[in-house]
Amino acid sequence: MSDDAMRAGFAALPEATEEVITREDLLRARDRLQVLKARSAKRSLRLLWLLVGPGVLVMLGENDGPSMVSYATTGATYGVGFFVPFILLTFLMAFVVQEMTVRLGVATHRGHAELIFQRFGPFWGYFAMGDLVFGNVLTLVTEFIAVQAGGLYFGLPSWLSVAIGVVLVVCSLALRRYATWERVLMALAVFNLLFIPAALLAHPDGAALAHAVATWGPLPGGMGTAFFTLVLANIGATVTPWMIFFQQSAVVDKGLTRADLPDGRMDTAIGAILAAVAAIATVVATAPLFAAHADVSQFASGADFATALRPLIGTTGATLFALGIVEAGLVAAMTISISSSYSLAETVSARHSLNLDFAHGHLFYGVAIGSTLVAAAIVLIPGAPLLAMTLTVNVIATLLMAPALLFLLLLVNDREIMQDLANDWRANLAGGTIVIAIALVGAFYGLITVFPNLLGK
Amino acid sequence: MQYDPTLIGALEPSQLAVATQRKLPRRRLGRGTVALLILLRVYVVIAIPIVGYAFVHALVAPQ
Repeated sequence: MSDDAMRAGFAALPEATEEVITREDLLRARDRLQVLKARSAKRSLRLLWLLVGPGVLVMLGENDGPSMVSYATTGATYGVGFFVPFILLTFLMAFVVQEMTVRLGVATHRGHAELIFQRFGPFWGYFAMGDLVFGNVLTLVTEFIAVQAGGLYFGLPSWLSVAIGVVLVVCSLALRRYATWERVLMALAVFNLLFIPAALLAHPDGAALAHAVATWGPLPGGMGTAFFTLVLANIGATVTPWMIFFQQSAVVDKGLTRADLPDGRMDTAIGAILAAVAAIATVVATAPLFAAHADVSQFASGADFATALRPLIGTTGATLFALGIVEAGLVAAMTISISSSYSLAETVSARHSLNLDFAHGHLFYGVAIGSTLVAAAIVLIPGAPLLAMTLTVNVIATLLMAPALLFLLLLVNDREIMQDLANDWRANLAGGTIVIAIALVGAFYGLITVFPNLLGK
Repeated sequence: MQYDPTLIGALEPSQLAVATQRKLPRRRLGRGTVALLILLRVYVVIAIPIVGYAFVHALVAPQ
């Protein structure tokens, strides 16, 4: 270990005596033992299976309620065209960003919020946390909008589907073991792929898809305010601050080390590919609404997409779409509420792990349960403009991303804590380009909002 | 849950809960970095009300 790292607080590590070992350590050690056995037996597929999780969950978790509504609005407004390769690009961007969180996690064994507070101090720490909490609360509300909307399609009253959602989120917390929580959520997240059969039932034109990827077109209607809103919403559907905080904390909670970095990267890549396929499938599934000139601005929620699609792609396709919306909201509610728990507990130096029991994790579990209840209550307010809220939340997430990315870049370039895992010039070029691009698109959105005639109609 | 030294050996010492509770020292930020952080903070402070305005405007605009 270098002198710099010694100074950075990694020195004088404690002896693993019985007195200092916690339940959290024992459960994590049990998972790590399986990883070490798989590695020594050179069982690479078994090793990958044991190490996937944070990346797949963060990517499929981000294919959440507002994201799927953004993709559905995109498909219904522009059909298969410009946005298909654009979505691929946004997931490439997400991979670049999330890979940095894996490196931070394995190099420091600390969550993102605690690193910001410890390295940059409370002044910047509270700004970062303010952004995160603001974004997470709004996003959590939209997850319950998705659950409620899916429920409406199946004839469930709003209060019932929201109540079922709350109970499921709380039940997931009752597992009190990271590995079990992760596998249960991964099983649920597989249902995000329901959008693929829904897309196939829309009888997509393969040639049109290939043409869109090759030419970044067509773009019917050109680049107006609606176009830039969807650009921002689609970026916000792929990269958001909670993902950075969640994946780094999950990597630490899972116990990944430097030796696991290749598999951690693979986990993130698998997640990005699966999520990109599901996102494009959603655009394809809703493209028939564009062909039918449906006016989606009148839609009140994601359920209206499923209802409007029924005569176009059939009852089975529409049902799969509605189920996908429910899953998207539910899995994201579970991951986003835990992202808030990790970050707030890290901020106040409280214990933070899904391996904690309730007696030692009051704050950790309390934040997740409290934020879930608040979000669920907001959704049930009569007359709330749910679709407008859903799209706006993604735009806000994009705007909050630029400062979150700057913190990420600063940390991942901090050689005292990262040592040989610090960013090289290529990662900095990619990361810097993403920050500038996101900030510029956001600034341009601001301009066309204040001056709506800037781009003509 | 039983303490087992062999099992705990599967964890790196820096992964123990007691080790991660130790705080890292503050890093000194350069002027350029602070300027960038302030610039992006101003950006957020300006941008979020604009989104709020657009949201409210879309709600009250005649359909």
